[in-house]
Order: sequence, then C-alpha cells, then structure tokens
Amino acid sequence: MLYPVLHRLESEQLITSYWQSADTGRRRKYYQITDAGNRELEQITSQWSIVQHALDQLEKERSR
Amino acid sequence: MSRQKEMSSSFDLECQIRKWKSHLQSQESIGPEDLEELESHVRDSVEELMNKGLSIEESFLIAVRRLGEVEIINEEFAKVSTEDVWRQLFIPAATVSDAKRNKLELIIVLALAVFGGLLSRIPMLFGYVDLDAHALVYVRNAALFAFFPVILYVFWKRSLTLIKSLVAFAVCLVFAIVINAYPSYEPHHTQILGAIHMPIIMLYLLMYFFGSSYPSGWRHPNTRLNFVRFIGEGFIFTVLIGLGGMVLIGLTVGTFELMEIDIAMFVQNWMAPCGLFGIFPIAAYLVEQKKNLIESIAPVLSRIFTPLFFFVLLALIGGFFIPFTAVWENRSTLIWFDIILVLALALTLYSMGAKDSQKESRATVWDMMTLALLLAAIVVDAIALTGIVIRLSRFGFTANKSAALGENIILLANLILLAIGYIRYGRKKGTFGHIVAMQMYFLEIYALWATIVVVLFPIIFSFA
Repeated sequence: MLYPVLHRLESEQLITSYWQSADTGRRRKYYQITDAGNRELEQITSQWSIVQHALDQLEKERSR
Repeated sequence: MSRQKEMSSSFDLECQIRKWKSHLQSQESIGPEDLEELESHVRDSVEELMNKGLSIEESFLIAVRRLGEVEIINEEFAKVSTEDVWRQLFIPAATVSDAKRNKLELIIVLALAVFGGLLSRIPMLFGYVDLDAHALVYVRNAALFAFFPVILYVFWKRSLTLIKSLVAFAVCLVFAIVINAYPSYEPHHTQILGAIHMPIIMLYLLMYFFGSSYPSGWRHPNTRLNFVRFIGEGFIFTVLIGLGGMVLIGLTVGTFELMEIDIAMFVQNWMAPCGLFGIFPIAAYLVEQKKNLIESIAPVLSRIFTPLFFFVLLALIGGFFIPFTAVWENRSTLIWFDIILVLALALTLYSMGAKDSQKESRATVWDMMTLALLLAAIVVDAIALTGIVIRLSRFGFTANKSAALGENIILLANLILLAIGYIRYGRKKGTFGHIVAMQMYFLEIYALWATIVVVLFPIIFSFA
C-alpha cells in the first residue's frame, strides 16, 4: 500500500504534502521530497549499492 | 471522460464509489482525509483506464482491485494511523525483535520510574531527612529529579549516540553542582528563583535529546513543535496519573489510620516522593506509546480555555482601570498577573500544536480568538511591567524584582511577536509556519534567561 507509506514518510519529515485543486475541481494531494528526505535517500541508495556490489561479487564467484 | 460512454452504461460510478467509500469509512483506521486521498486515487485510475478503452465498470473494478482489499488497506493504515485512539494502547509488534524491544522498553521505563523516586531520596544520604526542615534542598533539585530519568528514557528510546549526548549530560551535571554548591543565605530568594527556573533549563535539554534523532535536527521548528506537543500530552498524563496517585495515598493513609498504625512518615518520606518522581518517565513512555491519544483532546481543551482566558484577562484589565488600582502596591497581585500571562502563553502554544496547519491553511475564527487573547495579554503585561518598574524605582533592584522585570520584558516581546504573526497570518501576509518558526526559535531566549537566573543571579545578588 502506497499511502500509509507516504504518511509514514511524512511523519518522519522526509516528505511534505499539500492539497491542491486540479482543473477538474477535484482536490488532489501532492507529495514533495524534503531536504532531509533527499539526504536519507542518498544514504539508503549508497547502502543499497554496497549490498548490490556484494551480491554481484558473489554471483561472479559462483559463475567462475 | 466522454459523456456518451457514461450515459450508455447502466453502471453508476458515483453510486459504486459511494458504496466503496462507506465500506472504507467503516474501518476504524481510515480517517476522512485518508478517504479523500484514496478516492482521488481511484478516480484518477478509473479515468486513466477508460482512456485506454476500458468500460467504466471494468475501469472501476480494476482500479479498486489494484488498491487492495479494504481490510488490508485498513491494517496498513492502522500502523501509521492517527485516528484509532482507543483501539490499542500497545500496538502489536510487527516482528519478534520489535516485541522484544517493547518488553525491554517497559522494563526500562519501570526501572527509570524507580530510579526517579530513589533520585529524590539522595538528599537523605546527606542528612537532609526531614522534608519540612530541608524543603529548599528538595525544591531546588526537584527539576533534576523529575527530568533526568525522562532524559535517560528519551536518550535510550531514540538510540542517540553517547558521544553526541555527553555534552548535554555534562550540562546536566554542571547545573546539579551549581544549584547545590552555591551557598544560600536568608531569605533564600536567589535559590527559590533558581528552583523556579530550573524546569525551563531541563525542558530545553530534554528538547535536545528529543529532537536529535529527527532528520531535520533538533533546531527545526517542526521538531520543536513536536516537542511542545510531547510536553503538552505528557503534562496531561502526569496530571491524570498524579490524581490517581493522590487517591491511592489518601486511601492508604485513611485505611491504616483506622487500623491505628501510623504510616505518616513512610508516606511522606517514601510513598509520596517516589510516586511523584516516578510519574514523569511513565508519562513520557505513555506519550511515546500513544502519541495521538490526547491529540483529539488538545484542540478541545485549547478551544474551551482560549475564550475563557480571554475573559479573565479582560476582567483583569477592567479591574485595573475602572477602580484605578495601583497594582504595584501589592506584590502578590503582580505574581498572579505573571502566572496568568504564562498560562495564556502556554495556551497559545497548545493551540499552535493542536492546529493542523495542513487542513486549515487559512486563519479560522479560533486563530482570531487566540489573537484576541494575545492582545489582552499584551495589555495585562504592560500593566504588570509598569508596576514592576515603579516598584524598582521605589525599592531598588532585588533578585525577585530583577527576575520579574526580565521575565515580563521577554514575555511582552514574545506576546507582541506572536500578535504580529497572527495579524499577518490573518491578513494573508504570512503563513502559520512563520508564527511557529518564530515561537520555536524564541524558546532559545527563555532557556538563556533561565540560565542567567540560575547561574548568575546568586552571584550578582550575593546568594541572598
């Protein structure tokens, strides 16, 4: 489920949200990443690339 | 969306969406705003699918299906939801390690409660056994006894690094030494002032521990506003548990009295202080466990008391001007003025924390009520300040009067800044975020002033 995750991110101040009326007159909620969110993302991405690197190494070992 | 397609179909989208919505609505964890968001998502999906050539009925079924089972949606929302107040005090742990941590947390909190109680017994080791005779020792350390266990709890809860917190712990220690090592002579005014101002310093330190784990840092206004909420909720829990404790003590004393066993000493030396200082970590724990239990009460409380306080302030102004009373003749009047002003400010903070600035982007009638309260408070503060200045010119600078002068000037500045913020907000020249940011940075000044009163005042006024 997407929305609970968004709400959790929001409560951790990693993203912000605001309501805006679309052209059709319906209100939509928009989400935007914050600076803190970008930092967190960078950190997680770098952690992920470490994991990925490790898995790649393992895969290489196996196929050798 | 072509009208033709809609007309030709016997399928009523609105009716179906309404049905689906009411099913969602019956779930306890999905609030009205969540509902609106989900509905908006479904409508978008329906439109998108219809553009791909699907019929309206197919589109709706697929869109709803993709969103997931209603029960599962509810479950997911329950994990983050703010709406389900009564459902669970202890949110079931998702994993085994979480469950272990929950259990550990409970043990730590109970240990800290006992620790807080024992902390308040330390003066006994130094021979200050009689509470009445050595009340000052207990009074000046009360803030430390109350807040130190809470600081330790937040420190553990937020998994802060020791190195980072070491400075803050050191500050705690320095203050503990300062308030206890300073000599104090009759009439002990500087020491009592110090005791009154210590909670502000401890709150500020607690704010550091509380906010350190937030990604935006402890200085960020939103983090600080969260801390204000935390304190507001903690206060309510403290009062509730305290009331229960008083009943318990009353029953204990009464029952033993009937049995003709005198337990007054036990109650006075152990039961009451251990109970009192044990409350604070428990209250902090409850707020952390159930962040939103009070959130639904806070707006109600602030809305009940904002108008009432406004009328009290009006009455005070009236009482001052109509039979022109020289407030400065009476010292106690000034003290009561100040207490009411501080409460008015606390109330403003409360309504600030209770306001959902996302839902209400425009100023409401309640914001205007707060503004009225602030303006009345400014007038009252100006009266009090005049009284203090006149007393100062008549009796000279003493510790008490200097402290009162400083407080009233800071309070007046704060109230005026708040009023300006609310006026700008009301005229759409500023946002509510501006007011919050100003107020949250202003907390710095209170901490600074409290430090001056605790550390420098005794030296300036030769420990009297």
